[in-house]
Amino acid sequence: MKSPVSTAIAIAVGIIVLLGYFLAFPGLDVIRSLLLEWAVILAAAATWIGAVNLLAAHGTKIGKRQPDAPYSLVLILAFGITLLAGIWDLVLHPEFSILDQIVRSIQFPVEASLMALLTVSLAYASIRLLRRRRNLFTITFFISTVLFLLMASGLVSLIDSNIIPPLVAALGRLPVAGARGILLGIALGSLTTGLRILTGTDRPYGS
Amino acid sequence: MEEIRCPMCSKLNPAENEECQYCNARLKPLVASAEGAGEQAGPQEGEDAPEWINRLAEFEDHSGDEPAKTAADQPAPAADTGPAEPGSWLARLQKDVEKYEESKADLPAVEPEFPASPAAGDSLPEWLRNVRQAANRDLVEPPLGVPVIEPGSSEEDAWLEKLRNQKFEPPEKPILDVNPDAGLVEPPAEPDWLHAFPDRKEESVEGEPAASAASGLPEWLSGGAPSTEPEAISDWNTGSQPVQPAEIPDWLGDETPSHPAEEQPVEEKPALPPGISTEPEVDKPDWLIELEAHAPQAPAPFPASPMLNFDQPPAGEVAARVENNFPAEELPDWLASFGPAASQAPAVDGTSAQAGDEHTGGEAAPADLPSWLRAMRPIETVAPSPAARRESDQREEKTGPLAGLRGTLPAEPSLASFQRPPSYIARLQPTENQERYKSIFEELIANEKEPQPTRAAGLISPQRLWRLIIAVLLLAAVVVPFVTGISFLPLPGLLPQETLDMQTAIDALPANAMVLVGVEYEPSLAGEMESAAAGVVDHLMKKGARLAVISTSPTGPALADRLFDQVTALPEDYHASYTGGEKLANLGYLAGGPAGLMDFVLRPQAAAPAMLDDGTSAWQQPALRGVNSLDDFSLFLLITDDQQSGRTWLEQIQPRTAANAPLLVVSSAQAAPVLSSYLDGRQVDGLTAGLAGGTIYEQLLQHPGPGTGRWQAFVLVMAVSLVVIILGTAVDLIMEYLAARKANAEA
Repeated sequence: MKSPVSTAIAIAVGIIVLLGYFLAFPGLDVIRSLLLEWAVILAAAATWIGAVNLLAAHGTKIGKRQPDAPYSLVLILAFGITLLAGIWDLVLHPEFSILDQIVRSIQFPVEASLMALLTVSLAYASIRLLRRRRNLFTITFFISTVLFLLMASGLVSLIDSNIIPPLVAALGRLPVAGARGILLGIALGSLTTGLRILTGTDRPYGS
Repeated sequence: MEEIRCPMCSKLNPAENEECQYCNARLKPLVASAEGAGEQAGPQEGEDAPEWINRLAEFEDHSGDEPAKTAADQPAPAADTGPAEPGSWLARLQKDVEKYEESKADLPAVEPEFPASPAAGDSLPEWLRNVRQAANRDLVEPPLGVPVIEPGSSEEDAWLEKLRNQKFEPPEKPILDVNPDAGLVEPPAEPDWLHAFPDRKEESVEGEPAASAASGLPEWLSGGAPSTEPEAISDWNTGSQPVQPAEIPDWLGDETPSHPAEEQPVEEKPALPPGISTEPEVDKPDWLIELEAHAPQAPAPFPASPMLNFDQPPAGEVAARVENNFPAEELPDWLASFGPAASQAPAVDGTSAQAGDEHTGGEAAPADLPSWLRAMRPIETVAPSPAARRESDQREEKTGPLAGLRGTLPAEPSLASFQRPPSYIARLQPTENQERYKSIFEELIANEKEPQPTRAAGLISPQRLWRLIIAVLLLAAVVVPFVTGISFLPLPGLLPQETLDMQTAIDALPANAMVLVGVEYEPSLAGEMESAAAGVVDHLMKKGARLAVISTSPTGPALADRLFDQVTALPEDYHASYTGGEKLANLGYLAGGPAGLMDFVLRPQAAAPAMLDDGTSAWQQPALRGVNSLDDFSLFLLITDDQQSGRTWLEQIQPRTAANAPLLVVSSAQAAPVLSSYLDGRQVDGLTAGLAGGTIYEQLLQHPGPGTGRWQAFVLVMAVSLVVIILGTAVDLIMEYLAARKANAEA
């Protein structure tokens, strides 16, 4: 049986934060701010725990001389360098100019390149899609991909026709309709989860 | 707990029981009880006798050609049947008495007297009371010419003296060697008339025809020796004349007691002639009464039988006497198996052979009864030996939770036998189909084991070739517009309404309006997001809005700097105020995700305590002066590439914004469909998505920016991608079709 104390605390905190959305009591806002500050601190601590776990996992790989140990070594080195740069910035440059330069000079090009490679891979996957699996869903997915690529490219504007603009506008509402359905599902799920946590039915905070 | 065994059903009963709890037979002999002392009269003929005894008597009466039976042939149940007694032998006995009295007419008449106490008489059974009355009647009314002798008178002694002188001679040695050290009951002082009996025993030992107590028995009980043949009785009594083995059933031979004679207090009784064998019934001597009074103290598991109370030595007593007087080596084989009586109770009460079983622990060999006797045997005697059952009951449990206990119920043999279960070898009996499948499977495996010819690997695989072609085409589509500067594709002509709404909202901002800009995208999509947001940011700068930048992504502040650097790089005058912190303040990274954003809504300065390089707070910059809460912001601009971060902003920021503070969203093309859903609910006041949206916005501002510059390459890459995907799919399908056709042709 999970601890009733933790359950009571979770329910009380949830109710206080939820009431803050509907009631404008100054005292309630103070309590909410305090609780949220604690949550931020705990989140930062959790980030540190995740970082330590990451270092331990890759350190183990290096110690066992696994095949991907060099990548782990690079990761640890990058982590150390970034950490030192952050500390250095925290002490000498509170505007974090060094970290900004690292992101703009290293992280951004690397991630952009990966995105470009992803473009090639996705194009090749689209070619192989119908060969690998040819059914109604794959055919529909293939047609949708081609159609929305065409719409996003602006090539349809080259077609001088009165039918094209309303047709493109109508087709452009299809993703919105699907996304709205997804959002409704997310909202209902979030509401149900929140109520279950507030009533103590779900206890994701452990025992 | 002391128990006694029922003489009828051979089952154990508590010692205090008067009757068997199983068959209601009487357990304690009447002769052994104090109330019954001196009242050992037999029942009258046919009165209250069990049916089987009556039949047995009739059988004996009408079967003169049957083999002679010794007293030992008497079945045990017959001896245990206390109140029942056939009357033939009694009638003969009475006739003998009458004959003797007629011949001794000069003897004085004996006055009958039964010294039974009133209390004892009340407890007597009906048959015994009738017998006593009959005996009294016979004695009170003697036949004519028979003198009546008063008890205790001198005439009685004279009568007995005459009788002794006439019929008996003293034997050379006593019948029984009673060891006084064995705890035998010391007989009381005998009357004078009884002193002559040892002489009578000696006579019987010498082989003279001396009458014995067996003369009072019926022929079937006396082992074939009629009561009128004193020689046979004497032989039986002394054992000097061996009885033929054929005359003794096996069951009697198996009842040999194992206890020595010293442990079995045997009462020595004088043998009386047939004519006076009923004397103890008429008037028992005091010592005999006292002896009977002590009888309950000795183990007497079987009730007394009135049939055997006429000084007739029972089977057990006979065996005891034989064992004591004759060593085993002198006895014949059939008699050697006989031992002393199992207990003294049988000697007194005429016990059965079962008593010996009880005392010897049930070690007797199984009996071989004659068929006629087996038919007469009670059913209970056929049941398993009580001794054996008792032995099994006393077995000690060796294993299990009852280990160490005795008398537990034995387990079933199948359960009690702990052994390794047999191993069954399941041999599959395959059917024809299974055999066929087996052969097919073996053929498949055999084919797999054969090496297949491998194709010569080319310099480049088709997959890598395809990827290389796609990469080259896309790269060319990106590079060519920048290199050549050709603008062969028109700008987007469609103007979405949300983009127009965004332009309207920014245009409505007052001068020096405070705008909160959220940069929530990753470096991988920075190219798209910068192209999409550059026009909007430039519009804000053109309006002279003070910008406060914050991000919940660690890379957000750096990407924001990059974005503003790109925008301010444009040669515009109004950009100058956004380089020195006058109208632009980067509050940095906001930790905690949604919680941190919520905290920022409540306490902006506390949630984002950014510092400048000179050590001052970022909130002290000119761009953030007068900003203490979320209400101080006139517009909120969210630049995001992810629907999750956009939804977080819409959930945490939008509800707390001022009513007239619009929330605008610049999103990536992939997040636009989701975030567009908030447009209908007016949670988002304006939206522009992707590079196309940024280009459109720049067109609205008529101020080319990064979006317009990348539009040609973007459209060309999209066109190439479409062509590659469509053509590649077509080619791939054709190749597959050709391969299948070739395979079919080869097949």
